[in-house]
Amino acid sequence: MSVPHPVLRVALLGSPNSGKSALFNQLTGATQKIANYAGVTVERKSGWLKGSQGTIELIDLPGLYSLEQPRTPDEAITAQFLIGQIGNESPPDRVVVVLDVTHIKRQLKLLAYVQQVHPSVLVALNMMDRTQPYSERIDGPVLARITGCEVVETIAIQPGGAVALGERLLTDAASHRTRVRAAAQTAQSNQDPSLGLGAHAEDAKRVYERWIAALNLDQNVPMTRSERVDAWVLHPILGPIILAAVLFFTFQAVFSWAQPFMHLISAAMAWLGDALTAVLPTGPIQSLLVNGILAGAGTVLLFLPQILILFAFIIILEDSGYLPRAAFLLDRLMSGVGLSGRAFIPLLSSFACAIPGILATRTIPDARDRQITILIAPLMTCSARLPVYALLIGAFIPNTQLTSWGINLQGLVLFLLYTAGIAGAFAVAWLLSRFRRASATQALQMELPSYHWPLWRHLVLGLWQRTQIFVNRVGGTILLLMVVVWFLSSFPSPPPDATRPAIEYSLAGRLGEAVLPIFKPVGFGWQIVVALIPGLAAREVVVGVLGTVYALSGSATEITSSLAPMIAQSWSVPTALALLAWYVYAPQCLSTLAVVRRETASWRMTAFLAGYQFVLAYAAAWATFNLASQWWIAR
Amino acid sequence: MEAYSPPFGESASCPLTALGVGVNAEVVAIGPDTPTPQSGVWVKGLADLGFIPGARVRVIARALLGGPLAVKVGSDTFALRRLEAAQLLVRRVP
Repeated sequence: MSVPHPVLRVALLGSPNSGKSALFNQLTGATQKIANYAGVTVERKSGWLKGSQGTIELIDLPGLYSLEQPRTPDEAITAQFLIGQIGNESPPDRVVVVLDVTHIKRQLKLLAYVQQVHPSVLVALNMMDRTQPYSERIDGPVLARITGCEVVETIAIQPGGAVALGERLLTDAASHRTRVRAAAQTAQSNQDPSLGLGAHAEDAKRVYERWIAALNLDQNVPMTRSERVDAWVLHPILGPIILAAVLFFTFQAVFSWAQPFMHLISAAMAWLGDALTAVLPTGPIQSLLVNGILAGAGTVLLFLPQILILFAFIIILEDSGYLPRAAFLLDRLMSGVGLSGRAFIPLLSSFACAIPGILATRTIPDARDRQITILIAPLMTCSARLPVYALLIGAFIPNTQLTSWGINLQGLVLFLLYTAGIAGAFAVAWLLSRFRRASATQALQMELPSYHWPLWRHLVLGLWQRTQIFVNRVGGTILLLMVVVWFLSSFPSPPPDATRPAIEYSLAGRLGEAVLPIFKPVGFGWQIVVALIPGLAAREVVVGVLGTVYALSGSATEITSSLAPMIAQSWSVPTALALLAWYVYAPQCLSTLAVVRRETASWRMTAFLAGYQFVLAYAAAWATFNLASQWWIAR
Repeated sequence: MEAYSPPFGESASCPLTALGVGVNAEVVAIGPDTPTPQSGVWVKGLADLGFIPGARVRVIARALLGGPLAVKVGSDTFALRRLEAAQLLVRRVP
């Protein structure tokens, strides 16, 4: 896409949870571009808004509570960007300050501040659909009169809720440009860089106090519905019980609700395999399609329903505002192992994938805290591990109902695996924090936003995006790796007088045999070892490789979608449990390591991460294998 | 920060950590008498969130075993660790 030359550059600024990014998404749609600010790893998100008079570049600045004394890299970037102190970027022509009307009081302080440092401020008064504590006193015209800013009312979560803002920005874009550029330059030259932004603090404070008085905001607010819900959800005894129940229910649902869909996909795959075998002549092409692609990548696809169910829960919990409450309930535990309260959200994102989790650590102000959080984030069970867990649990753990009301053993084991990852992460965090300098207790200061009903549209969109990501992965990286694995597993062909299955003579078979001694003590066979290596690139591949390896080892009648019964026959239970334990802690995929390297700018840190995870995984697998073997023999 | 001089007969102030759940109160002062670098950071952050002298507050929940407090200030709710909450001196209001 050619980049249009913008007539105006407009920055979107606001507190976290103000709906700023939702407005940005509505205004720019598919034109977004993500880059980094010169010299720093803070993301610069921008997009285009096109109108008859030209194009506006919209820049979504990181959310912040205060400009005065920035505490995180994100906040510092926002402050510098506003006054044009980043690289050779000029200051924005216009600043849209997004204010959440339901939390207007605190956010007015930010507005007062921005007004001091920028000549052209437009206010987007957001969430005008919600009843708010000051409904009878505050709306667009009132705010415009008191603050002297242009005000546009928006509803970021409703389709079309940002149209008025877009139109306002576009109508006077061209004429605005010259006027504002000149004003902005004056403002910039008035700015004494040595004073920093703090110079305006006094003025901003005075203005803010005047507004608060004029709007009559300085009084008790009535009890809200959120507060009444919080009386239960944050209750010292009931709260943790509710949290445990929610998590437990999630993992139960992942197993029990996914079954019918998985049977459907599996039946389709078996049909396709039979059809291909019948149509194609026996030979390398048939083998590649059936044993390589279908048994490999196809087997991974089988786990899509479970991943979607997990994400549906995550999205609903996030949208409803429950997640920060969970962080509140777990904070005592987190501070006990020396973690900052802000570590919760990054760690939680890591359940989807460690990469966004690691990027989210940028909101942690303390460098040392951030490092520890990055080092333990990969221990959270990411969704790429789910197929591996699901395959092994499905094959080895009986689907026993433990109670009459729906707790089954498979869901319980899955819950335990997630817990094992979390416990490991906390233990590592505790150990690491023992080595830090005189420990300062870290601040929490985390907002508990009002509860919302989750939006169906958002849920469906989120799941659709997840499906696309997963299917692209299966069709891209995983498919490619599977073709390579099939090739390595099929060539060279066995000698004519071969007595063992062909794959044992292949490159993959020999490679597996060569590395096997390392993994023998933890009970892994060569088939598993062959699968572990490409699993470094993408974890789900392990499932695919096992599919291919076993399809190639078996006779021609056993093909596709029967991986679970096949491994159930050929592995001992201790081996399966050891592999599960290995995967709780195993060194993560290469892309995670690459991101850790980029974010920490340290190879030592990256190597330490991979190293400690390998040791932990090996120890866990070894202990599990030996304990389970003892138990199995004793029985 | 202006010095606070309570009018005659006003109820005594206490740290926010000592305030009961559901009791309405008003911030009287922020920060310890002798500030440390650490408390300085806390105080600055608290002021940004709206905990300034005169702000109305209410504790809506307290986590177990010395865990954080959920505190409502104006129409916002924030989770504060005990040491942060202890920086805020409040007095009950009707």
